[in-house]
Amino acid sequence: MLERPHVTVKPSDAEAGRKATAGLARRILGVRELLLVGVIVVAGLLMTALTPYFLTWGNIESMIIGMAPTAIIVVGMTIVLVSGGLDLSVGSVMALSGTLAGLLMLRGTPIWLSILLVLAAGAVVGAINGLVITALRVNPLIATLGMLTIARGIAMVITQGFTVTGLPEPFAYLGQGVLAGVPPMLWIMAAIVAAGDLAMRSMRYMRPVYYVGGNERAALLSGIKVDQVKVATYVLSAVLSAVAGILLASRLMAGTPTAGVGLELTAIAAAVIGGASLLGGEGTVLGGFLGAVFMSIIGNAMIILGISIYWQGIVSGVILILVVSLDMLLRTRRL
Amino acid sequence: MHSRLVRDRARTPVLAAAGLALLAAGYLLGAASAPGPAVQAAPSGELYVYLANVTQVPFWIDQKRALEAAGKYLGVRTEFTGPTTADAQAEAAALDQIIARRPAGIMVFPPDSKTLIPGINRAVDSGIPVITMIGDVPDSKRFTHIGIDNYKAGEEGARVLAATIGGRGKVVVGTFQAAGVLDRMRGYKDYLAKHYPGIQVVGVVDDHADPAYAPQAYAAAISAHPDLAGIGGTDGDSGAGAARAVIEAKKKGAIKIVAMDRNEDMLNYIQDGTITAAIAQKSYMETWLAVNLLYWLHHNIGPAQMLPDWKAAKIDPLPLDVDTGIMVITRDNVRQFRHATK
Repeated sequence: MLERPHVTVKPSDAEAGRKATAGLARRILGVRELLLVGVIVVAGLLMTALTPYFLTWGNIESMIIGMAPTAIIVVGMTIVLVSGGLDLSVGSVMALSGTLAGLLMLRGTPIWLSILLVLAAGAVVGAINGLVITALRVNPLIATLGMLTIARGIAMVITQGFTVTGLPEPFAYLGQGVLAGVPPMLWIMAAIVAAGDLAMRSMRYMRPVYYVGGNERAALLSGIKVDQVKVATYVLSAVLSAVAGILLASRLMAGTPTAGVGLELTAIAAAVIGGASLLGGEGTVLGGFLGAVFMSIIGNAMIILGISIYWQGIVSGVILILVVSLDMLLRTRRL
Repeated sequence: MHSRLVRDRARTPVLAAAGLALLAAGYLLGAASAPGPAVQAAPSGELYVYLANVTQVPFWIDQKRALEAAGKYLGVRTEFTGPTTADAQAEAAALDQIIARRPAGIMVFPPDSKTLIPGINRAVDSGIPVITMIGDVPDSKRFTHIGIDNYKAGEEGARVLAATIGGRGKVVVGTFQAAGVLDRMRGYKDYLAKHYPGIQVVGVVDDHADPAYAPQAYAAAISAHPDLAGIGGTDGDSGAGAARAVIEAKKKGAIKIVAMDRNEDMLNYIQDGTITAAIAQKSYMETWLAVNLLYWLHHNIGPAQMLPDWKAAKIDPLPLDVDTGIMVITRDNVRQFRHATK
């Protein structure tokens, strides 16, 4: 954005006051998460009015548990989108991670080591994504689309299509245990979302991600190591997908190679609802998380309200377009 | 300009490193992987192909095992193939490609009763016998159909679920949107409507055949119906999904589950009683039978000897339809259903 040319004329007090108010208002309306929180509150109120079964602790808890792996993946997806990239391989990496963890544990590998190895494998997958995109200059959509099929394929090969069961009992703690009232998985999700959001908002270290996504050429010319930043975002996205896969495997006590087909589209939708731009340079982790919450509510609502399964796709698609359009309208007003 | 030159020159070592990394990863994964079926090192070039759709789900494990075993037994090559989605057009295209390879016989799990009519007829006219599996294309020139009608499988499930919940109460039916599975769902609903007026189907849940999504779908249905008595599943992922949801809602025992197919992850739930029973097809037998029937036709033995020349007589020597029935998995026999993994 071009800066307005400086005019050396001192503003009067009244003018200064008006500028300050306009600035404040701008900043509040600029908190786009507010819009999403508003939409979620409205959706929640609507659902509560329509049915007594929505606002029950059982339903809320099952919604949050169900969305935890997705929310974790959305954190990584948001960061990749902000950098101007796209990662379609997240669902497959999640499935691969769960099955790999299961197989390692079945072989007798200690649980903690299995988890570490799977996270490392996730990092390798992310690095491959990043290198294919930066060094080989393959379009991110194509590169991660390829990884989507490859990772899923690897999961199928190592399991021969079987679900991996018979995991050691202690592993269930993450997804099924109780820590301060809820499964540890939820605390892990909260920690990842909080850490991700704080990092993107305040760490100077993460600023380059926005610059790379906003204007790659300018970022490159200003000395930012664009390729390194990009590879880092893909590594992060894949590692978070691995975390999601491990937690899911713990909840199901099974490594399922068919898990999460299409999850990447849900994650992208959630991130975009939360404010991320597919062109890069914009988006917050908190927004992505709220987007995931919103989509989870919609999915939950359709089942509780008994909407026909044949109509559910239409309904969720229309709502998705409406919410993003609303956001687009508000954006143009702000400009 | 300079940076681009530098980047281009950097490509080769990066490419080499990436290639090595992939090789290393492949080796490591090979070491960690389950022993797969040996590639069909067949003495003969004879090939029998099983074409299906949604091919990545565990439902096909028994078909693949039977194909392999029949191949070894008869000394022929077998193959299992098809699109990973419920895509009728993709399956029709795959069928054409298979015909071009001139196999000795084709088994096909059709996406519906119409799309593959031209393809099947082309195959038969060119001398390749075709058997339809677990779903028929009656208006085609297929030689026989082997399997259970999906609608009837749904009826069986409904029968067992009704017995399990004592003939009355509210139930939810779980499914996903593939033609055969929807047939099972319809069989479920129709059977209950016809025979059990005291049972109310209060909802149909689409679990997307995704083990990651299924639990929250069933959990939502449980939230919406606090007095739910039972959940009937019509696809392989409904069992474990419903079981997970019932356990997390702390309603194990209060909500009875009757599942379908024999996915590995649901067997533990049958063992511990969360799932009362599962309805499974005799997939192994269906496939074994199909390969052998095709083999007999190709080698002119068995039923093919019914007439001196069945082709000239324009007679189909095979049965019109083979109804393979279902088997019920319960706590008593669940051990037998565990596939040996690794």
